[in-house]
Amino acid sequence: MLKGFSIPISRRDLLKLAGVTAAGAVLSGSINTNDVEAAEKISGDSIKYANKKIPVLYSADVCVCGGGPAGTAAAVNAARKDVSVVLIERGVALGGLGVLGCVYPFMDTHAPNSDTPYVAELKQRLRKKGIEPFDGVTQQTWHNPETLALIHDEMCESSGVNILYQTVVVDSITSGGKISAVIVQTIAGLAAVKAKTFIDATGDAYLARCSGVDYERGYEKTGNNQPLSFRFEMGGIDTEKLYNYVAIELQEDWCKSKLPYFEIAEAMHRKQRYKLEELMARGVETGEITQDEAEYMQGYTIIGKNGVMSMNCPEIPVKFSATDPISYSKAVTFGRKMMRNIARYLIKHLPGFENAFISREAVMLGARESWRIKGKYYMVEDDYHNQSRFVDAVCRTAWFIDAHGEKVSEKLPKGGYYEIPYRALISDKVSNLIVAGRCISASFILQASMRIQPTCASIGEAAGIAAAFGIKNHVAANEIDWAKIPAHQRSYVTAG
Amino acid sequence: MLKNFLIPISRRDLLKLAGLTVAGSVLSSNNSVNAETVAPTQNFSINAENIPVLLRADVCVCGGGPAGTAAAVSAARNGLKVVLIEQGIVLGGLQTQGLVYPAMPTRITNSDTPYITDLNKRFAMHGVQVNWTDEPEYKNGGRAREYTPELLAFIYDELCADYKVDVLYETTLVGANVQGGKISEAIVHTVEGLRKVEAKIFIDATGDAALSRAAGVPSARGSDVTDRNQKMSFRFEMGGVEEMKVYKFFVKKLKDGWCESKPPEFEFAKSTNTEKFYYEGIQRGEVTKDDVAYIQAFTIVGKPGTLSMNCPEMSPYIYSSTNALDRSKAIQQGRIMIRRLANFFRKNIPGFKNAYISREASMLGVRESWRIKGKYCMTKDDYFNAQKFPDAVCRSAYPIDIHDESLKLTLLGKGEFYEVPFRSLITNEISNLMVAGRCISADFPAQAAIRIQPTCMSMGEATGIAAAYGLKKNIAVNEINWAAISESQRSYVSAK
Repeated sequence: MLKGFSIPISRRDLLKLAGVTAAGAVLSGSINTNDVEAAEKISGDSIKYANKKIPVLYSADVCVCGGGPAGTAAAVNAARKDVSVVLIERGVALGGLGVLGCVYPFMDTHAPNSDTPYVAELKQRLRKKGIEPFDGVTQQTWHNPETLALIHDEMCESSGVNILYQTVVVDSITSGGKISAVIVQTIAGLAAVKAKTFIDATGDAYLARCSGVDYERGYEKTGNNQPLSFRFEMGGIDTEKLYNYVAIELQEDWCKSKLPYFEIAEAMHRKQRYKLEELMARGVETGEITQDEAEYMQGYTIIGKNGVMSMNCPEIPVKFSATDPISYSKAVTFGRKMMRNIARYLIKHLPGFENAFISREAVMLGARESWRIKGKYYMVEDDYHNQSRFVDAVCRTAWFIDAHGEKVSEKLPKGGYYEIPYRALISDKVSNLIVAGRCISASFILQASMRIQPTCASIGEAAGIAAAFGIKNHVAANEIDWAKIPAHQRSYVTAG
Repeated sequence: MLKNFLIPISRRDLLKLAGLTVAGSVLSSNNSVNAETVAPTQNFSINAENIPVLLRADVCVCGGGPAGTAAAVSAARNGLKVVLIEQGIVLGGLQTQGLVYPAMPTRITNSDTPYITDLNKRFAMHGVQVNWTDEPEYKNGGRAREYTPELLAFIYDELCADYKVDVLYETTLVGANVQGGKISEAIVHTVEGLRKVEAKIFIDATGDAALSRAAGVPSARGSDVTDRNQKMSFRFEMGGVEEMKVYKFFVKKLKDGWCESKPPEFEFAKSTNTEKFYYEGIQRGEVTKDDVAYIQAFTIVGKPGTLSMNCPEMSPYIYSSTNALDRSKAIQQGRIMIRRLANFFRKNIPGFKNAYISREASMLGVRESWRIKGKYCMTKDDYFNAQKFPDAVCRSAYPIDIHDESLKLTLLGKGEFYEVPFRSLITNEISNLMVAGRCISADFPAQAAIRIQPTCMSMGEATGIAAAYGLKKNIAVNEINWAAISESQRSYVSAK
């Protein structure tokens, strides 16, 4: 693998990358100068890693690791501030859990005016493509995963983000508290990406962990991570029939909106009782499903995919860990079996599901929590209850403490919210690293509230703006005072 | 299952996996990992000294596609301890993640090896009633192997559970340690960090010959004539399709004789009679020439109203499957093409009015990338001569199928077929390595014939058998003479 890289790039490859393709092929327009630069990097720049020479694929101002809600936001926002950006994504679509993980819709921050410009833009772009995210009642963001993937690509294209798909971050070169390069595994083999500032949006704090930042995982009282989900979609559902059965016949008033924005749910561990609990409990009695499978069942219609629902289940038992590779693997197999059982049961017993089928499985598990960094500011449960404000706040939220199986808090009073400080995104240990998304510096309990997609996107947006600001003003990322960035450049200004 | 592996699994992990940790139990109090700040470790460096061993087994299979899964199951069935490393969270590779459906037929009788027969029986057990017998007639693209992606995912998990294969999901191969012409361990990236997997025998089923290349095995890529790799596809599925209307449009209106069957089993394609339909779309500016270079769509068993789209194909002049940056760009270009094609179908084909993109592939459809240079290199002469080998592991009559500027299929005479020798699966350089799947030792045209799913599965099956035989007889796998294994143990015996 490494060998392939020690061969200088062939003339053909260079020409091809430069867009001087042979045989008069029509250029698609997708080849840009970055490719030429990259080709030059392949032929010219290399670094030594594990006693071998590996190529430097890019030297950029900002390198973002992980293309989920936070990472994509970070990359796009940094690029819009005229710094060069590389975004590294292991899959073939941006959006992370929102696209690859089938985590749909975006939960609601419950906070007034919480949409930062990037989040508002996402909604606007969905509308332009015929997907109305507003259900008329709640603030959940209903979308369409395939459209969201396209929108992310388009935003990267127009802002000049270089995406490296099918590329996994495996290590970093760090010395003196500064990361000089990340080591990645590409389809062609190991390679490096150099940058001035790095943003860890891996969700698992992977880059932070391999660069020497302190971290923790799981709940201090039990040692457990939050449970994993294995989400999926079902097609062929008669949603009218389902609506009539659940909303009218059973008189379940859980879902406040109407078709095409419809949701079914039951959660046995919650205080609230749901009408569909009985249906699932019956399945346990007859032996068709297990208690674990009956515990939590939820489904949402997907806008633009008629007859398809996004299933927010199965929830995999908490004994499977999001931070242990073997346990994680076993969770996949266990979860797939649960998924199959739940689907079969619903097809047999839930009116509207008679002709339904599994139309899509998530391609990543729904990890709610895995590792979290210990940064300059460590957010705790009190920040939620006290509705903390911070001078260096990057966003606000009031999503409740939603630690599945451990703790579900009361909602904050109407209009209440807390803020997230920029200092929770940076650490003392690494000067040119910003962390964005679910793995920022927060306790297990507080993280259970800040982990939802709009909040992660807003955090990423701020990380991108800060990264560009730091580079232009020669301030280390972990020395940036968000409050000192001119208000009009900030995506969020504290309410004080 | 875990205790079979006797190694670096901590007491905590064992207990946790056994489900013994409970809230507040004493176990977590002396636990050095959970929820406390963990001193950063060196486990992220690829320096072999520092990487902990995650698992130790007889056989380590890299890549869980059709070949790798067959190899793992076959080795485990023959009594070996097997670890199967898969970068995604589903086995099946292109079958499940790439949405490559249906499997193309070998076009020759008696090509089904026992593993395939067993797989087909399992589909029947799940109520899928299709014709599983060998299908010698090449019916316009096949329909012989209709492995519904989501059901196949489940069946593969079942197979691995039944035969006790340890699957490591979400794990990416990043390197190999080689000592004395033997691979001692594979280095893998997990959610937790870098880990080693030790094994006596390694099977490279990565499709990209990633393990072989990492271990220093020479490889080739692309065509000697054009210097290009085969085209890549980015497949997707569309739901909400009224199949009868589509059928009537193509068969009655456009007088297309391409498909001989009627819905629910139906396909359409770009053929002589329908070419005009697509060219008019180009003229109207709805699609580009590249978008419609190749068009094919299949109904899917068990997913009513859903079509599997065998398109778009990205131009091989611009995008190479062996260049990391190209593959990344191809994904972005492919997603745009998918959207244009979906809109074109919706606008112009009755029955697509309410159709939507229901699923995008989560890996690119790579037909060819790197091929090893092994003990025997299959050539196009072997194809044209319908070559037989004493050490043959399977047979096929699938044509040399090169997707490039024009698609030309030269068929063998009726009843003629060629075989794949075991020597194409082994190398001179590494004594404990076998290669299975599309990346075996073959020239570009020969690879274009042997690359289809049933052939890859049969190769994988043979490597599993050879692994068990080699360990039992104490013969290095690259010294095994397949013909010397007793016929009853072989999955295939040459027709010679």
